[in-house]
Amino acid sequence: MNNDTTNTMTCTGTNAETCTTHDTIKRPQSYRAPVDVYETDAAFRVIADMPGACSDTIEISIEDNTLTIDAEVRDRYAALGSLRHQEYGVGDFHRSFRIGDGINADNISASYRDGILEVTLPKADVVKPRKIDIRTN
Amino acid sequence: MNTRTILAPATTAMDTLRTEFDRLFDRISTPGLASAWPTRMLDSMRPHPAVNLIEDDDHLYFEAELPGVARGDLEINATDHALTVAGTRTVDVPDDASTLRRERSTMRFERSMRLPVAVEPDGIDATLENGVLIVKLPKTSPARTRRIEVRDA
Repeated sequence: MNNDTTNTMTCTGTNAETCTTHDTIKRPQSYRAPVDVYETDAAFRVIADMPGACSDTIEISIEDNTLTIDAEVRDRYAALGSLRHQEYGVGDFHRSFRIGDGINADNISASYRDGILEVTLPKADVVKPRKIDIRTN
Repeated sequence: MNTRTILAPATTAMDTLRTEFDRLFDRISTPGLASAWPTRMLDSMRPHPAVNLIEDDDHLYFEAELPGVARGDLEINATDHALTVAGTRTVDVPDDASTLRRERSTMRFERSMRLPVAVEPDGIDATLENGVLIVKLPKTSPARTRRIEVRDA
């Protein structure tokens, strides 16, 4: 991976060879990724559609009870040709949520596959439901 | 004795967390910038997906964003002047989980497009990568762009 120059960024991951941007020009538009949120006893799971994101640029952070997800999307068209017909814009993805104190922020994990980001936010022990064993004599 | 007060604290932490997720999930940390993030994707993965068409001298590129669609769930048909992409996108709900928010859905989709120039159906190549489908369509010989050099008189 080459991080020395500012104008070439290569990301690792499943599709490293095609996931390269050649420009540092920030495209003006970012997009709100649609998400599903699930809750289990142990964790929250956030699943977001982020097609075309560069897996190495996906950033997940928690600050001031705000969960923020950012992903860069490379310019796919510069290498191909010119846009003949456009029905959607291509740009980076952004989404942020307010969350409570009950997240174990040190153990957040994430995976990116087929354009879908899946983030698992384990609950802190204090908010996990506890099972109380009832002793029988 | 007030039972309500006694029972309340047991669920407070969990309820607060759940409620905040529920109610505030959408709220962007800088509310004034909310309009900077349009909800494009809610419209993109739909029964008739949005399409971009890119062109160079020798090819057309048909592009659609299909996150979560497996190669096996995709069918592409082409003639020299039209392309149809159809398939199913499946959203799995995890077991033993309650749903707090649902913006993604399982759906069958189909999109047809009449192509602006003739292509060679036998030479079509398609890739699906990180949820982006790109169908590369070679233009027929008469439809290709030729650059004409102006010669000295």
